[in-house]
Amino acid sequence: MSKISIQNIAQAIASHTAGKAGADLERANKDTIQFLSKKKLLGRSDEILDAVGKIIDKEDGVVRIKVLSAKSLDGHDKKEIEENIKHKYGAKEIVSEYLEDKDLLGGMKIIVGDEILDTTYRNKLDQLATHLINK
Amino acid sequence: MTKNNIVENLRKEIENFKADTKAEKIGHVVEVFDGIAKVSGLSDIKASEMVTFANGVEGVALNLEEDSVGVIVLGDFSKIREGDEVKATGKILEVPVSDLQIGRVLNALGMPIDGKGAVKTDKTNPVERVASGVMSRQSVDQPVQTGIKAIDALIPIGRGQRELIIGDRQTGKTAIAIDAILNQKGQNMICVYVSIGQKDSKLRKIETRLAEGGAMEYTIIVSAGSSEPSAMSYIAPYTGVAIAEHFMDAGKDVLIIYDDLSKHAVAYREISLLLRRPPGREAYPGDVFYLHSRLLERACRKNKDYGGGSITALPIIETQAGDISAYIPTNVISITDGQIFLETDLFYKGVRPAVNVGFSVSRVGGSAQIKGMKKVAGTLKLDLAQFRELEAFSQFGSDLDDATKRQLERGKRAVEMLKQPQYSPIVVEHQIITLYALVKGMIDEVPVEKIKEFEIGLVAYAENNAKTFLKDIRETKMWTDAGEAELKQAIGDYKAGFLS
Repeated sequence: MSKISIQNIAQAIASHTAGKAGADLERANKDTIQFLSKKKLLGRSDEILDAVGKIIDKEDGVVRIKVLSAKSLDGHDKKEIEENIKHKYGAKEIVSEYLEDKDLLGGMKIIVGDEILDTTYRNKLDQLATHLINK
Repeated sequence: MTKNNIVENLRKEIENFKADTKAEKIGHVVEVFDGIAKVSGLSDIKASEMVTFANGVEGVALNLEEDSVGVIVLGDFSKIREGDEVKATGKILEVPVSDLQIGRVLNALGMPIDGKGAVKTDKTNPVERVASGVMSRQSVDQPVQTGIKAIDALIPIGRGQRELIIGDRQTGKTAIAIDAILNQKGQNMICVYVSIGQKDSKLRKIETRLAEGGAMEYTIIVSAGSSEPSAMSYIAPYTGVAIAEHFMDAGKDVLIIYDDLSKHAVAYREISLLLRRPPGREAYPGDVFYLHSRLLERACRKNKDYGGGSITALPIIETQAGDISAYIPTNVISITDGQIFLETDLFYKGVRPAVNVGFSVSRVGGSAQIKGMKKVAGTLKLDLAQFRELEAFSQFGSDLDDATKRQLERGKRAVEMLKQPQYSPIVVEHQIITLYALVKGMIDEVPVEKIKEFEIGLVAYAENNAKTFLKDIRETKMWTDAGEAELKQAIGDYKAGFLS
């Protein structure tokens, strides 16, 4: 028998709970927990829930972004970033998280799923270092 | 370089430097063990795509699974930690290639390891490339002279051919390969020696030997030592052929030696098992045949429209107790265009190179021999086969007829004549002279123990007394009746002097 992947399980959970509310949703959740317990997968529940979250986000057109910058960004900058991301990924909604990291020196690092756009000075300095070492 | 110059150069480099800002795919290390990393994320990654770990170490994506990517780490994996960021580069594994690599010793990634400084090049070749198609090829008809009589006469190798060297440990497999490289001086050939999982001391010895023979002027060594991770051993032959293709594409002839593919298969087995690929026969993965076939298929002779270059491959396989029916030997035998089989028994009997003429074959055969060699080598293989048969038979009784005795005596002389010390390749015209004397029965009266002495003397004598013959062979590679008559005369004269 072939192994069921985390992705398959997450897909099944997402379909099972889709469009349900109240008592129905409660029952669906109970089924899910029973299934995970039976398959001895409760230890991997974080991983599975992450995957379910990604599936639901994809269906709802939600894109989650993480923005790291050396200084805090003002409302205008944040709005501009979100508009650009919305346009690039065709998202309906953007859920953003803004973090400060002084080590980045300047610029910003935007992480969307497994894609990264790094415009920080730290990254540029690292690239320069690699370039000079390889010369 | 003065201090001011250093500062000035650095300033110039920094001014000209342009940082590259683009969206990159990233993943995170889930687990890392024995040179393998499992990475989450990295969606859209291609098979054999290069990735970079946080500490600058590179890797290659080999297993693309639903939730993760299996990466082989091409470097020190001890500094990679769980959770480290991994960047996809979007590039298939490439190695630098350049004419400046000639005379250098490189690692499996094409970087010099001989301490002679960097090789500056902008050109790279992909490590994995589909072999040349049918329409760009040409049949093999030009010889590669190895300088070894037993091979050039009986198992001729052509430019673009793949000839396997197979035998147990300590039977002289590498020695044949090294002799073949040494003999390429002035033959318009670039040599690439790929050392896979060999001891560093052995490699050093080989490099010194090649340098002493002046062969490093046209040779590149690619090495993945036994202390390096198995990923390097897996990559090394592909790196070697990627470099060889650079020269072939420029219309040059290349001789590439893979020493040895048994260790390559073992390295690939290790990687495959660590990547949890299902084991098959002898625990090798199912695609171990493809591993070698796609590598050796890249050896070819291109036709004139495609530059006319060639890659001749001499893979080496080490057998266990002479068993050529094991998995990897049978695979590689079926892929190559023939094999040179070396035997321990012959080696200890003093027949060196210990080539078993019966088991050895070249499927290209006579079309890769010059006319003169074809003429003299025609009956030699048959003579030797008959000799082996009669030799076994003659052990049962001493009452033999004259014809059989004559054949046995001729066989003994042939075996003696095909013996050749290591690192002393013989040019083809000298081989022709001695083999002509043998097959025409002109040395039947010379005692077996004096054959070597006779051979050396005859070559020296012919240099002065068979000048037309030698000129014909050297310049036009042609065999003329006048030349043959002159050679016959010279051999007769020398023999008369030698025996008196």
